[in-house]
Amino acid sequence: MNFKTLGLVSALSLVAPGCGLHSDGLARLEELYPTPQPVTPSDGGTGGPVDIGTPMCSGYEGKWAVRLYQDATIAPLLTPWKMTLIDLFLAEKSSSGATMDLRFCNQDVSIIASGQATNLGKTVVPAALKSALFQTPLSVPLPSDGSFHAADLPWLWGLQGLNDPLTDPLPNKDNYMGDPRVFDQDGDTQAGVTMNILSPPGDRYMVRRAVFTFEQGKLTLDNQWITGVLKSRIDESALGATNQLLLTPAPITVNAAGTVYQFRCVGQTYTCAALERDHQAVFKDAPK
Amino acid sequence: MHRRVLTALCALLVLLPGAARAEGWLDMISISGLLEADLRFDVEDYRGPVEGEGYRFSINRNDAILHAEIRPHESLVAVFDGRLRFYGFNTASDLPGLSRDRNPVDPFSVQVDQAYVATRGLPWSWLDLKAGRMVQTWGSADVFNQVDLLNPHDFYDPMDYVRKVPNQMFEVDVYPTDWLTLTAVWIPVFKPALLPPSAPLGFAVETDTNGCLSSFPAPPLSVEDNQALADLFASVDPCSLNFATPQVNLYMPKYTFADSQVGARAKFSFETIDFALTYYYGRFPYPIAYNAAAFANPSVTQPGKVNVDYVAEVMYPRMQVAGLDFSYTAPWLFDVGIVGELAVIFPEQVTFGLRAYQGQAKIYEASSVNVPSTPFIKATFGMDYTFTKWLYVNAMYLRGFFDEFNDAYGVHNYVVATAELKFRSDSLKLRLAGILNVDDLSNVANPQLTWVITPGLEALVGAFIFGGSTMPSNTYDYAAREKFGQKAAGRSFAYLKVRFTF
Repeated sequence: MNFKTLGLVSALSLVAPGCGLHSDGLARLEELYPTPQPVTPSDGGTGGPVDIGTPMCSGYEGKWAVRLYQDATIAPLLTPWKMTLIDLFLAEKSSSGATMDLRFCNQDVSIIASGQATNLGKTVVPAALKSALFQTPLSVPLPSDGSFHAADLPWLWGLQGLNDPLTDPLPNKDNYMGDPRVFDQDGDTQAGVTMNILSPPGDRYMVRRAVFTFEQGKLTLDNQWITGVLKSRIDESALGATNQLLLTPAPITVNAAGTVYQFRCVGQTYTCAALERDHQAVFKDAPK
Repeated sequence: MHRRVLTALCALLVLLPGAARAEGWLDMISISGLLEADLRFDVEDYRGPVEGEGYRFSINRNDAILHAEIRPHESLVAVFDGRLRFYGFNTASDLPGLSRDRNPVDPFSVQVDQAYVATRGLPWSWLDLKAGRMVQTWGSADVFNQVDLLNPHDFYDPMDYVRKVPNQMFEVDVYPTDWLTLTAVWIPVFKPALLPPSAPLGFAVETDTNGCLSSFPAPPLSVEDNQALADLFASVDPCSLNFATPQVNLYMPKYTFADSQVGARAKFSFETIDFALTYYYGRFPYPIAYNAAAFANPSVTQPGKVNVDYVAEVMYPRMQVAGLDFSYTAPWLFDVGIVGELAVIFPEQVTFGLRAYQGQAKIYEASSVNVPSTPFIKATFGMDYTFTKWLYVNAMYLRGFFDEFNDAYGVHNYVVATAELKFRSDSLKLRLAGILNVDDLSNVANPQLTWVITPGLEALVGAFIFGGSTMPSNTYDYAAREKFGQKAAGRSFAYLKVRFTF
């Protein structure tokens, strides 16, 4: 070994161990506290055949399973996280024929933070609220020309008698007391409605406003699907909570791209329970 | 256990002279030592863990130090440095504690700083070998040796800053010429530095007079990430949070070959200048923040309250260090002594990670490079001069304090100065020493008056005063704490020591 080689080896041995080494505190945390596997959605994501009864739709007549699929972000901290918000309804044309009445079944929420599903901010709709919202349908006016579209439809939770349902500021925890616009919609003695939050765990007493715009819809020739672009804006305000960390609802921003409404014709005996369970499979083949 | 060690030590001391006489070894044994009484009193009440506690005795110690060298023949020496330390504070808290033995009332420890054997000139005249428990000091500067990495410091008592943590090591010294010494050292097992009892305060949360959370120390993340972390708790009534004392665990290296340490030095000695080239591979001996996790859970016993536990890990990153040190006496400048040390450090990259959990749910995650892999420099340059027989001055510039490793806190700059004045035929010495952090202007001052009562016996009075703010200038900035101002640095105190050396 000549001096040049020796020098090179010495220089490499000096620098190499310092350069290549890395201790990653986040990897160590994962070793200490492994992240639980993402929770499997309640519908299981099954792609198999589902029983939707015997669909009998003609035009807008008939019974429809409805999915409002909202691609959104939620920002519990500084960096927004990806969120998918799915409102599920059963819909039928009103007796007057002027509206399509959507009766709420459930809301399915999933949140992805740093590429992984998280329960932070994830909501579960209690049975009492489901029932209360089911009682008050969201009515979508049907234009007389036979088309399907509607703009700026407010869908209010725990609120009534707003001067301008689209723009009135929502009551909050500091000013809702004595405000006649806030009412106990789900009858659980708490103001507004009660939403269950998985993480941080607890119940939030709140009011909520979603404003939907159904862009021009397409009714398939076989009268089995109505689909179109949905625009959605969501405001929430907490009135109280069982956990103080829940007093500040994280803002939700719905993205225009990927937000759609989907109606699928189902049999007259089709139920909310079936829709909650099977919605992924039910809407798997919805027309784009 | 302590009692057994003490008994064995005493037996050794009693029997050794007898054995030496019997074998005619008495001339081969040299013994020296020191007895010291050390009394300290905290002179403030705001730098400790509890506001308002202070103005009380904090140390009441007695040390008996023994240094023994046994030289059976010229080529062999065994060295022993031991210390018997009595702490002077009662630890018994109940009546049975007074009835067992003396230990709770008069606690003590036995510490062995060195216990090694060395051969000189065996098997060849140019070779020395050493093995055992040793304390080594490399470098040329006074105390602040940037290339001195074999033994970490023992800062349990920050005033005794020259003390080190001993370690088992093997050393080979080679003397190719009379002006060159080559040294190689292998230390199989890493040992970390000891820290002052105030060190955990670096992780402690601050509370107001009502016991409600007012701030917590920023982890080594970006200011934005720390702000986001604080925002997690911003909407919560701070009085509803029960913060437990943070638990800080050590992430220690394994006992493997790869985790052992090696050092090498080529030391050159000439007439007016000595210098050395050094190399070290091992670990930085002071803890570097590695990860942390906060767990928030509703209190079972206090409805409406949230318990917050904070568990952190610190680690000791690997590093390679190339060093140069020199000492030079300048005959052309009144024989001023000039010293310098330069260490180029090639660190292991350390990424700090943090998570926050609410119950089982991960609600926050962030990470940031705490120590980049970029090489960095620590250095010391100093001069000392004896102006007159009664005035000696030593001044140094420091780039990087002992515990600085170019992490998110950074490498700071310091000025260290000492002036020593002697009066009354050297029987009275006044030493004024201080360190100033040039970056944040925090400082520590150590005035001391020594009275040499009679040769071998001296009394010392002095103070160790920390200056600077206890609170960081920006609660979200890891680097904003003041070096000597922060509570983790310790408390200011005054002291009285009486020392007998033999």
